Amino acid sequence: MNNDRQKAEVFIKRLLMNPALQYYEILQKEEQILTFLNTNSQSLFPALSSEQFFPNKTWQQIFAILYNSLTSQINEVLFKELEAILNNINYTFIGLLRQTTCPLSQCRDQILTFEKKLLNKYEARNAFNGSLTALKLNIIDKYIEQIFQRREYIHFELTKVQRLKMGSEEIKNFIKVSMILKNAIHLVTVGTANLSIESVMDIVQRAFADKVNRMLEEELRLLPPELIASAVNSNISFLENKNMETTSRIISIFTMRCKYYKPYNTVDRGAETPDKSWFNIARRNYKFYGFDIKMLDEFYKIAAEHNW
Amino acid sequence: MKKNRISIFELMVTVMIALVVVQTFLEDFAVIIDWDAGTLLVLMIAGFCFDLFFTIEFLVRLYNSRFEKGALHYIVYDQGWVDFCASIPLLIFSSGFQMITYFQSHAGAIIGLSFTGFISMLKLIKIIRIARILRLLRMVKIFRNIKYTDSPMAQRHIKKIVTIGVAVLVVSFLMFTIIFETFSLSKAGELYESRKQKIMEAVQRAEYTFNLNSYISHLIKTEDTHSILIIRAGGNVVYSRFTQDVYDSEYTNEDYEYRKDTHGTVEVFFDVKEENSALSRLQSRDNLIFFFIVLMLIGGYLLLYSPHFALTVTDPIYVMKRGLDEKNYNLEVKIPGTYKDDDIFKLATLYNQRYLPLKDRNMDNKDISVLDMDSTDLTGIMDEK
Repeated sequence: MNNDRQKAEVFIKRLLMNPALQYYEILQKEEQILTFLNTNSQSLFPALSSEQFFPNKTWQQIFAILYNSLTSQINEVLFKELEAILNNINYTFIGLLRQTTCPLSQCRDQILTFEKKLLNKYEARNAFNGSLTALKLNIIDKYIEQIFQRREYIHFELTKVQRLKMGSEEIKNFIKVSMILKNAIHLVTVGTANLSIESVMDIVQRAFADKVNRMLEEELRLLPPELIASAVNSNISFLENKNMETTSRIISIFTMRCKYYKPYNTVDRGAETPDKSWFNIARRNYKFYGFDIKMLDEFYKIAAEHNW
Repeated sequence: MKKNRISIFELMVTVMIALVVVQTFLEDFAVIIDWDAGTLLVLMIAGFCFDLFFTIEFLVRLYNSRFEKGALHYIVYDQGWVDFCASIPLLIFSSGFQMITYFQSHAGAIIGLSFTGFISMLKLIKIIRIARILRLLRMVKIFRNIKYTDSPMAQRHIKKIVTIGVAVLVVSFLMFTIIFETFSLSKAGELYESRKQKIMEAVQRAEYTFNLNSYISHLIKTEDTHSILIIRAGGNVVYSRFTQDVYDSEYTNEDYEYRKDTHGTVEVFFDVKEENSALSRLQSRDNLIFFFIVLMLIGGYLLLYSPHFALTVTDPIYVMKRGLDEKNYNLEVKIPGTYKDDDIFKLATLYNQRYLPLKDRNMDNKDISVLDMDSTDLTGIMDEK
């Protein structure tokens, strides 16, 4: 096995098969492996630069080979998963927003093509982590159902403030597509050479979001502007933008919830449930993340009532 | 290999403890519902085997303790004193005593010697009865081998409190029994002893008349002879109230008492079945009451106090420890409303309200990886294709 690409493929495959990663979503696995490579670079370099692996190469070169192999292996699974998610979404809500009929399969294809292109950027991949995990866990469905049953603050915000004249199923799909497109904010960001630099908050300024909105409207012509705005504005702070779309607020909360989502096989006795814990912590950090506190309160109550 | 041997030994001890609890119950229960002498004998032998096993267990543990933290540590801190009290004294004063008297009295019936000749049967019953109380301590031993909680602290605390509870009960019961035996049994004992003394004197007088057979014929017609089972003179049975089959099936070694005259030529077996039976039933009833009290006490601690201790002490500590220890563990401590003013939950409130939000704000996923590999794990990756 002389080819570096083949060696990297075997090495990455082996890392992906690690039992510690079995409960993680695909992009979380990628994140974990990148973290592992970054944090252990000093101890890994002597072994990886040996004759058996990649001799006569610097760590940066080795990392680049491994990163390319990792992303290509992850993409194989990721694009399939993305396609499956997009196939499961009912796009009839687009007709309700636009009041016109458009070929829904074309909408789906446009999103898929756009995302595949966008996911070549590390920042976009990283930002997609939370969205993908949330979509895979179906977290939106269960909370939106409760919101429509309770008909409290969030329901009022969705139907009266954002004026979404649609049923709960359409709203779920609307949020799901917005969630997929949330990482479109990185359409114009410049990739950082150092992959370890990352903002915990993932918040951008309104002006930047508006610029991305305009660019996306040009690029994704089949999609209604409300949908694009819902996706892009989920990257701004509610505290500085009180007229932020309700769906954007929901998306920003759930993508952050799932960004560092830790799968707990069993919750320790004496500990609160994962969602309840997370929402309670988020309530205390709402200013830091720019969340809507009233929304967090309602989600916290839902999580507490259902032991989520 | 050594670990396997230890776990097999511990498993065996646990099984034996469970069995001895059943045996303890049955031994007293059998007396109350009047099981036959054969079953009582089986239970007595089983009791002896258990006592022997626990004595060996204690000696093994004591020997092994020399290679660990020392014998003193084992005796004082590792419940060695419980192992001791529930083994050697029982073997000597309870089952061992019973076994010796059983075989000696049977042998005595043949060769004319008896251990019971040296000691009054009522005193013997008293010693056995008092020693038996120590069997209840064995129930404490089960805590050593059953893992009822993940926390070593909880295990230690529950074990300690159960040991104290059961030990206090057993000691109280022991003291109560000694006092009771001393005062209430003494009168009955005195009456019984004087009656036997009279018979022995009569038998002795008869011996000097050289007309023993006719005297005994006269004696058995009198009211007192209902307490005589067998009279032997010069090694020959001159009187037997029942056939050997009746003795075998209805009389245990505790049901008769053996005396011989000062010259050793006349031997008399006295019937103490009635007295023994009444006393044994009373004692067995008391034993069963205490058995269930101890059982309930242990059950209460195990089923009620142990979860309470976990809920209010070890669980919140465990969750906080994980939160402090693991970077991506962010679950809050559950705070029960009833105990929110407890120190531990005040601390947990601070942990939930201050530490976790701060930890969340400072969380940088870049240094959190669940992968645990080092360069040595990489060796051979390429070969394993």
